[in-house]
Parts: sequence; C-alpha cells; structure tokens
Amino acid sequence: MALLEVSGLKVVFPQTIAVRDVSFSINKNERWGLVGESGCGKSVLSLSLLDIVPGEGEIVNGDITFSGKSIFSFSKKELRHLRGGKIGYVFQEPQSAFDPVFRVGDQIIESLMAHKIVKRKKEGRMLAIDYLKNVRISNPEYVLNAYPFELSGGMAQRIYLALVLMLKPDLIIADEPTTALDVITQSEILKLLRSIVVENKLSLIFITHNILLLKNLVEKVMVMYAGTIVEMGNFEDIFENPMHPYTEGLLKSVVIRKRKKEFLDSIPGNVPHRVVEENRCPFADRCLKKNTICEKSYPELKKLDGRMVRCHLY
Amino acid sequence: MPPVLEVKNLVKTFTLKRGLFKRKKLFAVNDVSFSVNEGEFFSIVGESGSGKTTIARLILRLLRPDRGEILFKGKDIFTMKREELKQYRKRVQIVFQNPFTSFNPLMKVKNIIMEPLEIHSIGTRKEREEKVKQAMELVNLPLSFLDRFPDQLSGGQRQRIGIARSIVVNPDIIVADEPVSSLDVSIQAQIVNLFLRLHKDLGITFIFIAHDINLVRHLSDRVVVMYKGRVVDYGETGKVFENPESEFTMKLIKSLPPIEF
Repeated sequence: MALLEVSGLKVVFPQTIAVRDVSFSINKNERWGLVGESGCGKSVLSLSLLDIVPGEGEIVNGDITFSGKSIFSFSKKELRHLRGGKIGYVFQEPQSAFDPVFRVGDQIIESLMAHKIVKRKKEGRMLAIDYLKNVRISNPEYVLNAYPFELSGGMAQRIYLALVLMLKPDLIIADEPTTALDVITQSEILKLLRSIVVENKLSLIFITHNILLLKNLVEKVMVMYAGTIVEMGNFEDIFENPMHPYTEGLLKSVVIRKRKKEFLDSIPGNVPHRVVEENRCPFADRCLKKNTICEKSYPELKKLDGRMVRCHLY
Repeated sequence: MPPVLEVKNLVKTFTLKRGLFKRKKLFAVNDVSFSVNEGEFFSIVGESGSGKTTIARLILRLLRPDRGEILFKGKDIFTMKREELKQYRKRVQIVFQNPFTSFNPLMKVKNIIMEPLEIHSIGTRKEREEKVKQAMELVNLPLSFLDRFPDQLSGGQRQRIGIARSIVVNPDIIVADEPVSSLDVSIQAQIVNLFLRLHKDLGITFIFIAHDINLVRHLSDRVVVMYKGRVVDYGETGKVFENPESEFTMKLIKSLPPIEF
C-alpha cells in the first residue's frame, strides 16, 4: 500500500486554478522531488497534503489518502497528529518558522508535549539535546536558550530539521528549505537531510525550482507547470532525457553545456500566474515544439517508457 | 585593454553599536583591490554578507570609503565634484537585484526610462522619446508597454525595464547587482542572454555581482571571489575556478549543485 496517494486533486482560488488534475502516489522509503517555478502550484499542492489551503482557496475535487485513509475523513485530533506527527514540514525561511518572541528550546518542548512525545519539560529538554547533537549542533544547551534571531540561517534550519525529526514522521515535505541559504550551507543542509531520511527510512518530498539540487538526492521527480504535472518518473531518466518541452527548457536553463559566452537556450514568454480552465495545452504559448493540436485540446497524462508525460507530441 | 576602473586598497566600515565607550566596527570591505578592463565581463562572487553590494555602492559613489580609492580612467571618483561627478554617474549605471522594488510605482514605463535622459539633459523632448523607444527595442519589449505602470508587468519584463533605464544614456559600465537571482529559472536565461547581447554588440563593460558560480563561469572574463570583506581569489575565470588559491573558493566549488553525497 502506498503511504500517500493523491488522486484527481483540484484546488481553486477565486482568480486562478492552483492545482489541477494532480494524481500521484508515494511509497514508504521513497524520495521524491517536486520541481516548478513560482506560481505553478507546488506550495499549494504540498500544503493540501496536510489539508491546509491558504486564503480563499478550496479543494473542490479529488482525494488524498494517508496510510489508506482519506485525510478528509480525519477528525480534528487525527488531523493535528497528521500535521507534524505523520508528515513533517520544513519551510523555506528557517528563522520565520520559529516564533520570534519565545526561546527556541521552549518552542521545541511545546511541540514535543503537544504531540505527546514527552510528558515533562525536563524530558523534552533531554531529548532535544540528543537530537540537536544529531544534526551537528555543537552547543545544544546554548541554542535551546537562544531566541530565533540569534541563530544563523543554516543553524535555524538544522534545529528545525531536528524538531521535525523528533516528532517521528513517516514523510518529510521540504518546501525549498535551502533557497534562503548560501551555497556552502545549502550543501551541508542537503547532506544532512538526505542522511536523516535514509537512516530513518522516511519518505521525502523535496520542493525546489532548481532541478540540479535533486540530483543524487531523490529517486523520483514530478515537474509542475500551471498547476498540473507535466512530467513524472524516475529522476535519472528525466534528467538525462527530458520528454516534455518544458522540462527540457528548464534543464537547459540551469545546466550550462555551452561554449563560453554563448547565448543560452531560453524558454520564451512569461511564467503564468493565473490559470483558467481552457481546452488547450497550458504551455502552448511558450513551447518551441508547438503544433496545431496544442491550441485545441488539453493533453492527457500519458504513460510512456515508465514515466508519465502530458504532451501532444507523444 | 587598459583598466577602465581600478579599485585600490578600499576599506569601508560600518559602526554596529555606538555606546559611550564601546564602538563595534564591521569591516564590510577590507583592503580590496582589483581592476576592471575596458570591454570585459567582470564578476564579483561571494556569499551573503561578503561585501559584494557594498562594493557596488562604493563604485556608484553612493557610499564613501574609510580608506582607499577608486580610479575611473585614472581619476579618483571620490575627489570628483559637480559636473565631473555628474559625467561619471552617466558613464556608470546600475541594474538592481529586485525589479519589484527598484521603480517608482506611480511612474509609467516611458517616464522611468526617460528620467536619466532628463537628469543628464540629453537631447530635445523628441530625441528623448526616440531614445526611449530604441532602448525598449534593445531589451525586446513591445512599445505598447510604454504607457503601463510597473505593477502591470512580470518580473522578467520589469528587469528588462531596469536594463533599458541603464542603457538609455549609453554608459561605459553597467554594474548589475544580482540581476537575475529574484527571477524564475526559465526567465533567468532570457535576461542573461540580453546582458550577453549588450556586452557583445555594444561593447559595454559589465561588473556582474552574483552568487551563481555556474552562471559567472559561463559569462565572465575575470572574477574576484570575496569572503568576509576580503578578496580571496582574483584572476581569469578559468584559472580561479580550476585552480583556486583560497580554501574558501575550493569549498564553494565543491558545494555547487549537483551535490555528491
């Protein structure tokens, strides 16, 4: 049985369709990447997995099951346990994931007690120190007494990872966890995240706009554009041989295989920020391989060579 | 090629805490020297807080250094006065990092691009309009955008306007401070191509400030790597990245994605 299964998910906002016709399933112990640009719906999708839809958004269609049970049938208590207890969520801005007016240690202990991991504060503190050592924080006592602003970005992200881990989730969703960090810190956090996930046999969804970060980190990948999945399958296959023109363009804009100062291959046009339901391919306006059919019908997600592609070319 | 800009032993400190007896100083730029040749694509690389942006602001003379000098064609920019300074500021233009905050939201696109021409009293009203149109064509924007406001445009389009504003006065040097890092991946390549075309066709000297090493490697002739306010590597791009002198640059290269776990 799949750990997490999403079928026919559709999330709408008053002005736009954020997620459209999204289905996938994640097994235990599987590492996934989710790639897309701003406004493609990747964050709305990942928050929907916790039954959180920001603002005026609404899940109008589809189902999400976790360990075989629909999360929409969860009681409030079960939902609270799902959020954090079953699915850990790592945010983009590590410092703002913490409340600025409370000490880091108190916030960690509060979460531990809310999730009934520990009964007494003292126990929580001991556990926190253990876990902080695991994420290579050299002075855990000091860190627990610190306020979030006293931490560097890399440190805050380590501590947050430790907190997520202490709640013993089955799945970690990491939403651009290194975008706000410098290159060297980024590589340290990625290494830490990977070893945590592998050692504890967890599942992972790593969300990013930089497909290069996923190399060696994940086994599977889905590429999102305008709220929908355009390509999905084994990471290495897609990385080496992208089939959807959007995936191909995205790869070419980050992997530079050109002579010095040569012009880069770019995707023309702009990233769409409002998606409406139309009977045409959402990428047609920017596609270099566009056909007449692309303007006339919405492509289905087709199974091809062990992967899924949403394109009229195939 | 002779150097068009020489930075010599530049030091800039900021006072962090000011008390009666204690004063803590931050050396944002600490004894930095390098030179930029005419017509070259020069890059400044470093992590956040390494002093990159402070150097850009010093080059534009938006800040004054504690010590050291910056020579533009042999003349110290910090001793320039009135007319000379105005001329210098015409020759050196900037493109900012965030195209969402670098325009006056109440100005139309045409006024944004025309403003530098008015400040520098270039041409008649008609000639100015003509120059604005030329700049729009150079950055591949339709003329129908001239009457729009910045908030009606996307990030990539706005950055094109920032670039149009900088090239409209025919500068010698464009300082571009992280000009693509706030753009979407698929848009970044478009803007990079635009920089390359301006560099190749108009011979504009670029001082490109970035943290994306892959991009810097592709674009630049020479590079300085900064770490905590100091220059730790300096020279031809190929040499610096294949055979770096400093441990920091070595570490930086090893940390580039794709990461070997």
